[in-house]
Amino acid sequence: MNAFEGLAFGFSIALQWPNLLACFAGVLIGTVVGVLPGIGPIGAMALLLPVTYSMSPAGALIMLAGIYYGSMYGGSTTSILLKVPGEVSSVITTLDGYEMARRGRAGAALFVAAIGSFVAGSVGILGLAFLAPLLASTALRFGPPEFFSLCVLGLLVLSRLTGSSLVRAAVMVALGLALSTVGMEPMSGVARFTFGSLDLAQGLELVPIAIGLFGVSELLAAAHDKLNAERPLPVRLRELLPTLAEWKRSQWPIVRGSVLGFLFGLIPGPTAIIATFSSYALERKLSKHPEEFGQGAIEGVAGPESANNGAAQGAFIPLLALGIPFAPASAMLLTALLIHGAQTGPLLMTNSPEIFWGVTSSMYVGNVMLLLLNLPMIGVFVALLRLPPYFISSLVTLLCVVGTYAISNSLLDLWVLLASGIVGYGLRCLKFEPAILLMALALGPILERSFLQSLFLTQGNLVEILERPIAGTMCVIAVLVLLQPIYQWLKSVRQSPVRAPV
Amino acid sequence: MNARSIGLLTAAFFLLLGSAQVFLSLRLPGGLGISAAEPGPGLFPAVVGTLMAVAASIHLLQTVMTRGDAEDPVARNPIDIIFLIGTLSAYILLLPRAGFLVSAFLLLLGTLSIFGMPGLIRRAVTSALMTGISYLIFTQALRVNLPAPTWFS
Repeated sequence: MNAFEGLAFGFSIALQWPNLLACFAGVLIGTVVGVLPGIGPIGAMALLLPVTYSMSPAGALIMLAGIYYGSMYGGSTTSILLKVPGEVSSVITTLDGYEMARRGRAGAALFVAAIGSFVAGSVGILGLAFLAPLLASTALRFGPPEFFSLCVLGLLVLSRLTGSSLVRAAVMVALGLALSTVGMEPMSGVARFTFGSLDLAQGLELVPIAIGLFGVSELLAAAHDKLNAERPLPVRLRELLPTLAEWKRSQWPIVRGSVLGFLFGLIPGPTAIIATFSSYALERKLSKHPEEFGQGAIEGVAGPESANNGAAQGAFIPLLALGIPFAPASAMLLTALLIHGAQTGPLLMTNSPEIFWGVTSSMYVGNVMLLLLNLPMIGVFVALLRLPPYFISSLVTLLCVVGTYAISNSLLDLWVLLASGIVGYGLRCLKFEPAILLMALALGPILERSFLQSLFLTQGNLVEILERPIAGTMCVIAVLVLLQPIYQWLKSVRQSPVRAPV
Repeated sequence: MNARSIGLLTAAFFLLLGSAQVFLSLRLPGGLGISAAEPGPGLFPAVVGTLMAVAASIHLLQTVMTRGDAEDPVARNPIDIIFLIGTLSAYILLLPRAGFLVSAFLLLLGTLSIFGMPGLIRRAVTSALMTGISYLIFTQALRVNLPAPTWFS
């Protein structure tokens, strides 16, 4: 099946009524999650995972993916109207988006953000349809050493891109991997670190830990900070269309942001955030009026808003083609795939084409829905921001506990949720990055299995991995990624008497 | 407690955790395995524990070498955080005995108070309404199996 046949087949799946409904529910929830500061897309995906149990695997993935890219659309609304980013990837939009809103151009900023997101989404889907099959066919030649080196490289790149110091990131990687070793060992079936508990023998579920780290820890922070309701700036429907000059200034930033975002999405880590900052820097550099940036330049909204959506779509490629999650949201989707019994990895496309092509095509349908939702209904979403924070926080608390319990009706999951929330809050206070922990936990089983299989394959001599072209190249890149901060640290020690931490 | 002391305690905790993992990995049946070509169930956790212990040791050294004038990173008045943790713990303990309706009502009453909703009667009415509506949505629309009370059975 080539990409065009695949897309046509995918549309026949995505346009079935149950899947259309799933897509609509996903993008609607995603937009609401993006608009409301507090609960992010990862928490929302984790909460709604049990709801997908009665759906088909394709329907479940379509809904969860919709939440993820829908939140990217919604995140721009609060950035522009309140100067409060609904999502971290919309932080940069606050600079020029809010300034535009103050000058009465909120409608134009929201319109350009929505169009940019749509274009980026479309570019991402085409990239996904054409690149993922190529990558998957290459990955069919991957053996355990390739998967092992890919996981190691992914964790290293993720550690370097989150802004955390290398040492703190290493502690988080080790903690995540350590948690992944709880339960039955994959080869021998020996129970590890269960302390006699039958519940723990099944291993720790990813979802309660994700909800705890990203949902409950946020609630604990909100309990201390007591957020106040902000009054958003008004938007009138007739102000939605940008002027011809604004439109002309937005076109190329949208194109550049879409491509840049998509390419960043292929890299492990919080690439949507990095893509927005890179796009902003690029547009400022290329602009004839760089002094307008920060004062309400429309390019500062068009580029980054396209980039974060491009990155969101690009992040699906490693997941769907290789079965390896490179971002926390992808880890949630992988969990959903495993729960629904789908074959993950390069064979997903061959064995479950309805999932791969159905999800890919549904993204296009979802992007059209988002465009229709986000422009005429902007007033409805803005009204959500007028809800008192105590009401939203209490509702999120209830959703966290019910969502966690619904996974397997287990009280242990609820205790894991609470413990993860406390740990997540502590890690934030101590400047550790919980996203690294979650990714290491998600990659742990793949990493351990490929590590043990590589040892069998090489008769205990892991150096042989370097002789394999793909695995060897990835190992060399991993070493370079590891050495880069050490080189920078040594350079800073030579240049300055004050020592900077690695 | 200043940031430096908290950093030292954190690093020491992770050093202890990593060391404990290595120790427990060695005591697993089969341990590290016969040889590198025939690894045991303890090999991977032992490698991970070593990574944690080494990273924590470097973090400990870095913290020792830094000056201790940084701001305290932990909340100064964590009373609301403690209340929220207590409310969530009470919900988990009550859920299998009192069932969803009573536990969720009390959870919402607690969280609405913690997050600052004014008026006890308003809080109680809002909690009751939210509990009832969420119960209907979860059980009827989303088919979630919620626990019934077992105290009287």
